[in-house]
Amino acid sequence: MSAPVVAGVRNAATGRHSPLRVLHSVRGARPGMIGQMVTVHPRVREQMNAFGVDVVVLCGENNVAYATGTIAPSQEPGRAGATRSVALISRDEHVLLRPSPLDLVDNARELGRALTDFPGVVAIDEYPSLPVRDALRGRTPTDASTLLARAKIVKTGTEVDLIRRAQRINELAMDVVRPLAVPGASQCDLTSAFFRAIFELGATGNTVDPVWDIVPPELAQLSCTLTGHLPFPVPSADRVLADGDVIFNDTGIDLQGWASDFGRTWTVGRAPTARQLDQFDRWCAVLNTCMAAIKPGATAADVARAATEANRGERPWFPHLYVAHGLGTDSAELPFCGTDLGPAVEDQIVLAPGMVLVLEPVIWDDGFGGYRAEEIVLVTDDGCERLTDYTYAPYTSAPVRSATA
Amino acid sequence: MTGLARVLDAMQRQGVDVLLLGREPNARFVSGAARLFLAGERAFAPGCVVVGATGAVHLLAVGDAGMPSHVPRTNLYPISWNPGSLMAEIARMPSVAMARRIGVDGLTPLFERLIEASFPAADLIDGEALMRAVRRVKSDDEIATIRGAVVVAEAAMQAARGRARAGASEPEVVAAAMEAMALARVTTASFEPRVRRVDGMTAIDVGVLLDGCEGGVARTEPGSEQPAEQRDAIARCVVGTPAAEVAPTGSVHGIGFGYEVLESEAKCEAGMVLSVATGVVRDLVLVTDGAPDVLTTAPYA
Repeated sequence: MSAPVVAGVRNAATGRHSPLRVLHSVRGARPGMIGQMVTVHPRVREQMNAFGVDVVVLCGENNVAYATGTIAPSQEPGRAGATRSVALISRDEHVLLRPSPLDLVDNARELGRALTDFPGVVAIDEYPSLPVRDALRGRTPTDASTLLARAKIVKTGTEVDLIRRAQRINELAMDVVRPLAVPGASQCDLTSAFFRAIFELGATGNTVDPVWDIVPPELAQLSCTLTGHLPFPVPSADRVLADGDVIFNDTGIDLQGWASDFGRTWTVGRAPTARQLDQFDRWCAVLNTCMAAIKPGATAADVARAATEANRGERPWFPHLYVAHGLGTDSAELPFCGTDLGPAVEDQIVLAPGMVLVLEPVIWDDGFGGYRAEEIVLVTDDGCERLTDYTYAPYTSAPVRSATA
Repeated sequence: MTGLARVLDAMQRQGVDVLLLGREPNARFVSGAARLFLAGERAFAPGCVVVGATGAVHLLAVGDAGMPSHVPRTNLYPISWNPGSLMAEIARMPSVAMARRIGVDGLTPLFERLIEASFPAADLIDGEALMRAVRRVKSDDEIATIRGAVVVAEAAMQAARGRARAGASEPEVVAAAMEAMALARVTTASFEPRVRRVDGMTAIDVGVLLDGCEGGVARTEPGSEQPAEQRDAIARCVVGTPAAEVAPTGSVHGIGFGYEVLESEAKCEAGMVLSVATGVVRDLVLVTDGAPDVLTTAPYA
């Protein structure tokens, strides 16, 4: 460990208030030597070597969390941006900074000066503000987002365990909420119970305003869609649930920087009809076909092809989204399967052990509504295994694994 | 004047033709759109476009839920995972192609390239500086909404203090505050409650977003009288006081559509709302032409 060599600290030594607070600085340290101090994820350094990048500047909170283990609290975007940490990572050294707001020119320039201690080729994930772009312009930064995405796409065992634990908290909270989804309850009532449960169960944060969308049976009942399909998800509006409603829910929490992702369909006040049960069966068929396609060597586009094939040639997902997405420090990250980027792009993403995918097919029979649920799977050495462990009630009373056996 | 009118006015004065906004609070300020709330900051992507020549706001959307009625549906544009398609969509909006000065409130290396390729003759302008200046002084409507948000934050505080008084753990106190916020029909926290033990007390700080505007308060359980330091800091929230001198040992920032950054040389102006924190207590204060108007009413004791 060395003394921090950053512009902001030198200024502090002169007694002037420094806009850069150094949270910690490490040179040449190995993970085992620095105790509580965060280390740089070895996969980031691997990718720096692969991309020929000497210095990575990370300003995005989920990237900082991934690379350094420094977790930002869950907060609205303005506060998150103004109070962000920034990581400067070279091949043998790193500094984690808590700058004064980088929207202001003086603070952005201070960050530029700090970077002068890190020579070589620079890559950055995002510019928090135009003044930061201007302050770093002399270094002509390249785009670090691909480098980061390549690092993040494969999870370690510890990371998979955190995702599993995050998902378990999310699922246990849904056990509390599910009995409350009855006629007369409001969406805020469900959210209130969900919030209480996740924090009592140990969640670090809530990442999305919980979604309990009441889905119309036909698209013609919508006043507007820009996707040709159901607009989903929509912002919460505190609607009151009525007998016969169908709810698509979608919730996510944070556990020490790692995300969960939960989605199920619930009927309100009544058991599903024969038609609704048929939708669920078709959803299970799509899920099973996708899971059979997910193995090392398959591509992201293969998963979308399998889903389409299982649904008799029609894409069983929302056209503005995907049939599957990755999960990690972001609630949706690479790989994406079935986006409008198309199969040529998605065929370049080859699945490998340690990748985590959230499958979220949608079965839609216009006039009769549909079924949507989310299932997290981990790519293993010879296929995939489920990380989601949750009932499909009221569509089945069977436990999760036998439902789609 | 609406948020949009104030932004268009500033664009005209500064000669900014188009604003590409990626920050959700900016999009909400300028349009009133309530899109699905996601916690955390995200890399820049243009989710809202303001065009000076037409006075139009264009919004990224999947449908019209949460979209304001004054934005015609033809001004909603769809999601794409291909940033190039997104930029092409924006370049096709009426009067955008001729833009020479484009304001952005953030950037990524990718969007920098795409904007330069789509608008080779245009200069990039600091759109966040423009938005920050416009947002600093609140309209009467914003102040009314902030007052409403404070009521919700104080309900959450009351629940949290009650749970702390009963000897609950820190996560249980957080849970009580979040539960109470949602029971008050607000499901978006501006930050999740910060609960910590300090000198035998439980210090609790809550913040909520009601219709995009923030309300918040920090107190302790058990409480005590208002600290002299806080009283003095609030008293300094009068026109002309440099913001940095309001609470020299505490923390002061702007409040409006969430957290607002103050320039280091900023001075108190009538219509600004400040978050004023000293020690373990925090209040929201509206600067007026007269005495400070303390928006928070939760008891300290």
